[in-house]
Amino acid sequence: MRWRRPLKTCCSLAFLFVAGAAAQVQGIHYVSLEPPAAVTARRGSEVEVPLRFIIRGGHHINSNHPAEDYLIPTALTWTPGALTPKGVGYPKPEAVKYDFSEKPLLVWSGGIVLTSKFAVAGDAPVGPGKLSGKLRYQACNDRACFPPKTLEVSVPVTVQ
Amino acid sequence: MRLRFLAVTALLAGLGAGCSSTTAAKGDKVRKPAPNFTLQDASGNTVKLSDYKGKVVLLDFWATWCGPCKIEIPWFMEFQRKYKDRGFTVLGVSMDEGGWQVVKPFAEEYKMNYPVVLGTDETGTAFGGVEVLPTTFIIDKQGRIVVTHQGLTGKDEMEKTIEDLL
Repeated sequence: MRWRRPLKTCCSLAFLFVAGAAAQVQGIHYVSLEPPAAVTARRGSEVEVPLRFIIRGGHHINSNHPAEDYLIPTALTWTPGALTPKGVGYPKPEAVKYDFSEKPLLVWSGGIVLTSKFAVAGDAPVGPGKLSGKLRYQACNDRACFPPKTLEVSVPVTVQ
Repeated sequence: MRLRFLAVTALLAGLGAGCSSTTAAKGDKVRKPAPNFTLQDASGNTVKLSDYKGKVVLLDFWATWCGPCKIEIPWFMEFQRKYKDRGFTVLGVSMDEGGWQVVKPFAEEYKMNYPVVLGTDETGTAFGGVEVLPTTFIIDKQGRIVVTHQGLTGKDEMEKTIEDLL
């Protein structure tokens, strides 16, 4: 009888481990957004919003202009709201040669800052709100690739 | 039992880290049946996995945007040429969201010599959630999974498994 409790505990832990791993695999993201600073935007002006994204260690994502046509580019897009999106500035990618590629690929790894520009209309509603966007990316490491993902992005903004 | 636990742990750890991994080839008595599916090829023909019972099947989940998958495809074409008359086939399951519009030109460019079907999320889920590409299952003549390779692994290892099963 004495073995029953340890066995039960062991089975429970194994179940939690497997369930946790399965959940992690299903909803796994290879890029995360560092908590963004709140943005203050004045009516009738333009504002720049830099966002820092962290790419999981050992992985890379394609740049916004990958070296090969078959690769899926990274894109940050914004939902128009009180502020009108005016474009995104992407950092220069690294050219990295992987075993699986014939020529170097243009990728990002580690941390990257994407800077978005917004126009604030002269009659934009004053007060707090948020900028809503999506980062579309496709990650790989040197042995495998992972399906394209969309990371929801939300930035608090106050129009003055 | 301990070895099996370690193998499962290693596989899950590999999945979490996004590394390539290979499950140990399963002995005859512990192999589990591969889930059946009904999908369509580029000509609109229905393809069922169960249609291949009696053959050794290398089932490859891949995508056109997956660099490591493009390394393996020529290996699989070679396997198809070498073993197709001995009761073997490769079956490619493309997980491209762009569908045949992207897969068909790719298959033509690579002159893929084995059947390719378009996979769905349900197909991936049935096979345990195919979150890593390439993922390759080698299935025995009874329709049971013998080994799973995730990520770019070894050509020789795959070929040895195929030869052992034929």
